[in-house]
Amino acid sequence: MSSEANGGGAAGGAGRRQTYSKDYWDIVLGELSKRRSVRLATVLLVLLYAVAIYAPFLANDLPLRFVGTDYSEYRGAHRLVTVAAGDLVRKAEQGEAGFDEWEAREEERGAQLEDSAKEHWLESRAGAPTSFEAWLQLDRGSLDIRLETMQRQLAPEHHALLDTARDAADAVVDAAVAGDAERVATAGQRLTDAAGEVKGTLRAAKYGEEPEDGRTVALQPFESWPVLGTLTWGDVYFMVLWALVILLPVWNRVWNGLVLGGDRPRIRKARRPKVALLVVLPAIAALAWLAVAGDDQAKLETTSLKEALTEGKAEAVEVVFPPIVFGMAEQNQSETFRPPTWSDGAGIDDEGYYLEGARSQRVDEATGVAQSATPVRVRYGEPERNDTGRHLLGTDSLGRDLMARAVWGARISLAVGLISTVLLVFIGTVVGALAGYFGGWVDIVISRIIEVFQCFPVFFLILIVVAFRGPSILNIMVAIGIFRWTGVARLVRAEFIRLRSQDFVVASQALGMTSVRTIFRHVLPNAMGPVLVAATFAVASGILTESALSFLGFGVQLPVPSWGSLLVESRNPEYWWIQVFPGLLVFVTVILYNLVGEGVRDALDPRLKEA
Amino acid sequence: MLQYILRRILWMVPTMFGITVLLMLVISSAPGDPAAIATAGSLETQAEAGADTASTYEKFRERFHLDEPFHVRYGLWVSDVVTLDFGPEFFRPNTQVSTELWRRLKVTVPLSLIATLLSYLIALPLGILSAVKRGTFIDKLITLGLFLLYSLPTFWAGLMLMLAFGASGLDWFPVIGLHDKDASTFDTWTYVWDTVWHGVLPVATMTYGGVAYLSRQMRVGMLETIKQDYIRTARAKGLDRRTIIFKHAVRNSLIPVITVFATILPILIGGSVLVETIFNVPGMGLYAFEGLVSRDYNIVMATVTISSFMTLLGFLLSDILYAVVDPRIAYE
Repeated sequence: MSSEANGGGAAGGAGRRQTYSKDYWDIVLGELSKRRSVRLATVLLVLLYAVAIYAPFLANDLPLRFVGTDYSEYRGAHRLVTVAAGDLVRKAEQGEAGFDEWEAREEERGAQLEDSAKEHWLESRAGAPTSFEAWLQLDRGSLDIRLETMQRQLAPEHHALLDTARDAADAVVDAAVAGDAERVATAGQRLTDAAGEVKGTLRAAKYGEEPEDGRTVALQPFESWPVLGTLTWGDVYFMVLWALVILLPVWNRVWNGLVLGGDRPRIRKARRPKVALLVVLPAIAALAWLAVAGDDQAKLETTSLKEALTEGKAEAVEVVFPPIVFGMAEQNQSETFRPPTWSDGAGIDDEGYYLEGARSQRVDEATGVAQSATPVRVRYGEPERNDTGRHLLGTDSLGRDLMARAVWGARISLAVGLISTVLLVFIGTVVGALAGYFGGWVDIVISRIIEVFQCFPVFFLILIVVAFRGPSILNIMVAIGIFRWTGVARLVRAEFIRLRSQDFVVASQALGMTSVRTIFRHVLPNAMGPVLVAATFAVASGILTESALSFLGFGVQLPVPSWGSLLVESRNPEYWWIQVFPGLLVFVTVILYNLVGEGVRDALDPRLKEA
Repeated sequence: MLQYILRRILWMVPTMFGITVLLMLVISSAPGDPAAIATAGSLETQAEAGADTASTYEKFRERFHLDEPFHVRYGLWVSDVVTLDFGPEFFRPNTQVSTELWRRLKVTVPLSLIATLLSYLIALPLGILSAVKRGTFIDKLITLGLFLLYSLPTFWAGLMLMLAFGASGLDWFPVIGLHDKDASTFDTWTYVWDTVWHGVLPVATMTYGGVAYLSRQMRVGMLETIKQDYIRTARAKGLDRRTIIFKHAVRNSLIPVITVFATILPILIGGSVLVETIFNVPGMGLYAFEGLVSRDYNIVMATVTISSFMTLLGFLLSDILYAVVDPRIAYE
């Protein structure tokens, strides 16, 4: 923005300022960057979205990096090696007939199900194997995960034994697919033997015990990046995109200055490639991630690594936890409804009683009933029991850390605001453009419809749709989209009426361009200003609406909470932190969006600037 | 003028038609069988008693016309509503929705009106002050404060007021309902006082949004007016500041602010769902919410229809006011 202007001056040479005409976006961006409040709000919003997007790295019960041994994970895999091998052998022996029978049984089971159970079944069917070989590969895969899990904690001399098992498993699959019963039998025997030997000789020695030769082995430390393993391709897309957005000031300056030489017209032409880069680069990263990590992260999670470390079932050589050591859904029954640990009255003694307040009493004064308490369980890597930073925002009814949930909840809240806005802007723009461009009876009908919508208490209508169609994130976004478009439609309609008789539109029509082309290529780009303003306010309003719906009990019901649904955890005034902090986050986000919106409006509409 | 008003009232008919059809479409498109849900509880007890459950279910469907096609159901509904009959409630068949609604409106309408009046009383002086002192510290302070109020989520503001002034905080105001439990034993003055005391927090929650919105409108309107030639003329002929501001500027910038009245009313009524749910005030908003939760079609249809109708009336009223305040505006 400002760098573009400087670059333009430099390119003109000393003392000879090159004159250039500013186009619409030059002016708007220039005006916007002049406003301190807009700049500040934009930076804060970018950071807020960064928190939402990078939530897995910020609040997680999984470590970012772990070097050490995990006895419980190894044991889980070791215990099931023979089971997995047995399953594979049995299926191979059944042959094609076994697969057909299994499929028929599944269909029969599905036919008996109804409603939500049926939906769930259909979902799982989508990923179910469709051929005999795929059916076998399923078990082959599950055996492989177990062997892989064992191998990374075993010294190299034991790897040969695991390879034997793998080879045998491959042979079983090959023979079964070929339909050779004899080979299946011999290969099956080999696999059963190999699995038995793995099970018999590769038992993990407990921590502190010497391994017995031929019976137990000592575990070797392995290196892993547990959080990375949980990322989906969608996560990766947005993480890369946001890294590019955050670094935009840097690479934009380099691109403009070094590559384009500060040449104004070239910089203007480079806008489109820059936007393309923002779209394409994350997409490439996401596809690469999909190829490397696969679609679903098949994991054999027995207990969480943090739990295993706490109980001494895993040992860390080196471990790096995220800044917030609590998972989004990690419960702690010994710490329910704990106030923010920096506040007065949050202190807890060894037995689990609070140091002061109503919950410090061992015997209820009124009833004389003994009050029970559980000593606080501090898991591995967590701050100490009464550490100020342990639960900065307190905990909820299940002892889940509110801060971790708020960080993850930002994902839902911010997404609902954005997506519903995209929807309502799209509907409003199309409808408004039609009414304004064509006029006549189209305009009359659409204006009437807009009038009808305006007489509704819109929030109420959204509430009705969500209440009657069932609370889901999709219903909320769609309801906001289809009932809040009228504002944008009116703006676009007014702009189109203003523009449609102007020379450039008439010229476009005279040249014989289609209406669609005229509308979208010529009129619309000139009418987008007011829409941009309305959209900014609409995001704020979408976030508000979602939180209000959640507050009334019609919110999203997902493992990942939204800010609004955090707030309904408890209405008890004793647990004030549950009502204060999630609402505060909504408040701050709305403030930021309104600041940006007002800035954009002032920048686009110089008439209002004076006011 | 009279002709204009009549024509506007006639135009309300197709608009109300559109609103109610859309509303009923939304409600009917909902999955699930309301009759099955509504009779589920009583069916179980009847099945135990050996009664004919199918006929209870059928009777329910028949009674609420749920077995009719959409247009017939709509026609039946309209023919009832014209006589102000919104049908009985689903779960309390002896209670007429219109009776209950009337009872609830007697709570919501006064609260909304008081909140609107208060908004104007607070907002106008603030807006005028802000415009007159434009650019000064006071203006910036007011603008910032209003901006914050404007961004404040209603339900959260209500919750925070409850936390701060309810029993858990300063314990200044009661936070639940509009009356004490034993209000019926109070004499008249205590009763009125009790109601006012209970109403403070809900009214405050309903008012602050209007204050923020109206003040901003007022400030913009004032600044726009001050730029006009006649203000310069007034100043040039040596009138004192007070006369210029109150006689010339304020009166002329009031016009857009008054018309905003119509847009505040639906916000208040829609917002009353949240405020009344938070403070458990037995008004129309809470009634609508109860209807939603229990999936009572009659209650939902009635409350939304009434509030839309009131919104339409508000629009009409503001247009008439417009003409009254500004004689230059004449409706043919």
